[in-house]
Amino acid sequence: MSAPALEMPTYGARSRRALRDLVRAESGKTFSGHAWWVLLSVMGAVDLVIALFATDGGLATYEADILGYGGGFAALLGALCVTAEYGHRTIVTSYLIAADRPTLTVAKMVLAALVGAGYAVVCALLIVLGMVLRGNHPLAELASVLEVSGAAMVVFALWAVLGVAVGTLVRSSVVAILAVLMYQWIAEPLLVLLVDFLDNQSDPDAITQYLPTRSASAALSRLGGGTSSGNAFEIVQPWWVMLLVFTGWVALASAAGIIRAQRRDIT
Amino acid sequence: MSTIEQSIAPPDPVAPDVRDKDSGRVVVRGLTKRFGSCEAVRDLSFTVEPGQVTGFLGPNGAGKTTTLRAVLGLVLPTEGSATVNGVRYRELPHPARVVGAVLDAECFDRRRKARTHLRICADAIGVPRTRVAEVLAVVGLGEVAYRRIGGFSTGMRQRLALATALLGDPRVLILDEPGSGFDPEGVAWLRRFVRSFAASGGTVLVSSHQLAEIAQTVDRVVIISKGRQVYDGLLEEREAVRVRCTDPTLLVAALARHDLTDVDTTPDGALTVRGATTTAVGEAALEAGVVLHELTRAHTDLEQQFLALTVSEYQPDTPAGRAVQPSTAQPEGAR
Repeated sequence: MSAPALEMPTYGARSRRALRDLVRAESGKTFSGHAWWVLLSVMGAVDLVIALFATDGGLATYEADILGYGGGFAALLGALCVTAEYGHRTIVTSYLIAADRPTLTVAKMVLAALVGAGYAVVCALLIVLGMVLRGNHPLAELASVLEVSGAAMVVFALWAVLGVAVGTLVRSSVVAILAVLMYQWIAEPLLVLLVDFLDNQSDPDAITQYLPTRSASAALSRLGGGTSSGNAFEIVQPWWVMLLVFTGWVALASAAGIIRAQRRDIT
Repeated sequence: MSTIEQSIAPPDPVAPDVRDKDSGRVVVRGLTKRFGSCEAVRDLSFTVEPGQVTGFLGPNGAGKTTTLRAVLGLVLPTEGSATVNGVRYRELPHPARVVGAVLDAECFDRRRKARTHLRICADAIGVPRTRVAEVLAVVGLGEVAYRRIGGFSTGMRQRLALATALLGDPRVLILDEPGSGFDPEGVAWLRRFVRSFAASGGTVLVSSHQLAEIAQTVDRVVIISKGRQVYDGLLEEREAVRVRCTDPTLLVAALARHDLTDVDTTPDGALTVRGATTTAVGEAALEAGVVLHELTRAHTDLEQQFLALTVSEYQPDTPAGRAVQPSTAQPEGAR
């Protein structure tokens, strides 16, 4: 028997190895399916088209604005990583192998985050390509473009993690897809209108800019040199504050997902 | 994997029995599971020993699957505990290297190829991918490794599920209703496989709703009905011998001298002797000087007793054992 002092680091090493093995398995699951490239193709095509028809302006600013709306696709990928397992009932095998459920959820989040970051790189390249085809000069704002692209990798990774959390909570692919899309494009805008309606005295954006979608896109827009996100609202905070706010939302959802999964009976 | 790593026991709030460590023993203690107001299993306690095949019997809806899923950490017990090697499944450091489980044959992404599915699982378990070809060969699916699971028959998916369970080279095998979906040849193959697995020291727990399906394979049975345990013991204790001879009266008298008094007469003139072996009955017949026309182990009698145990609602929680003796038993000899 080893001394107690030796056990802790060994246990930690074992956990890390287990996590690495699970992330590897998750990549096998994701890349043996179609969802990842279908989502990437749609997102890339949309971004390229928008970049081609964007109005005049700075390259980095537009890159940031366009990327600000793409994160939802990374969230869809994250959600599908989980819901596909419930749909095919492979979650049974996954939980038999990874009996420690939080580790499995974290493995899914790590993989989704990596793929999400990859999405951001591809999208940034396509947007820059579109803008260059329109006549912008890419080297003129190279530093800003790289900055925005790097931040987009972080934001997309966070969106993907959020997607895993949502998928873990709802389990159904259809519900998860609807939940992500409807929240981003319908529920949050409605919420903004509602706050505006209820409180027309003060600046409504003071509160609503901290909502998940808005905080994510605001972080990128501000970094890209814009002072407003798609001319929708004034961004008063520095980009990193908005990024922290979005990270907070993701952490909250992740905790909820992990706790929910821990008590769930798989019948 | 280092030996240091294996020697570390994870923290365990269930108060593990140190004697169970690495034993391959499955222990269910006072297990109760309620889904809302529906009580699926109540106060179940039994032990599954290594080196044996234990049958887990009960009619459909008796709570077999719920119990197995509680053992495997998929379902959280409302009360009581289920442990493998003395710890709860979810706290096993490498569960898939200790327990292999086949729950149903539908847990697959059918668009994947058999090999892809197994490679993913091998990665997750942390065993080399060379195990994939090995387990495919064990279950006889080597030829279809590159075919999509969607094109598999139920029997092939059962075999693939078993291959998945074997990836981690486990010591404990848990099979839920493996007979469904297998063709007769597959069932015979599975029987041999399970027997040799137990013979090499492995622990096997196999559930079924049909006694006949597993009677030839199991050493022990745990029988549950309506979520409660009604019998736990060796299969031989439940067996009977069917005998036809020239003078049944003389044979009954001879049997009585061997303390074999639990004898019934069947309508076709044969005798059913419970708790006896064919050897004992044969010797008694020699003593009595009667000529034997037939001497067989009567499994159908066991089936009758199984039905009697599981159908009636007034069964006590304590093992009913020999108390249940249906007088209408009509054994028809061994199949």
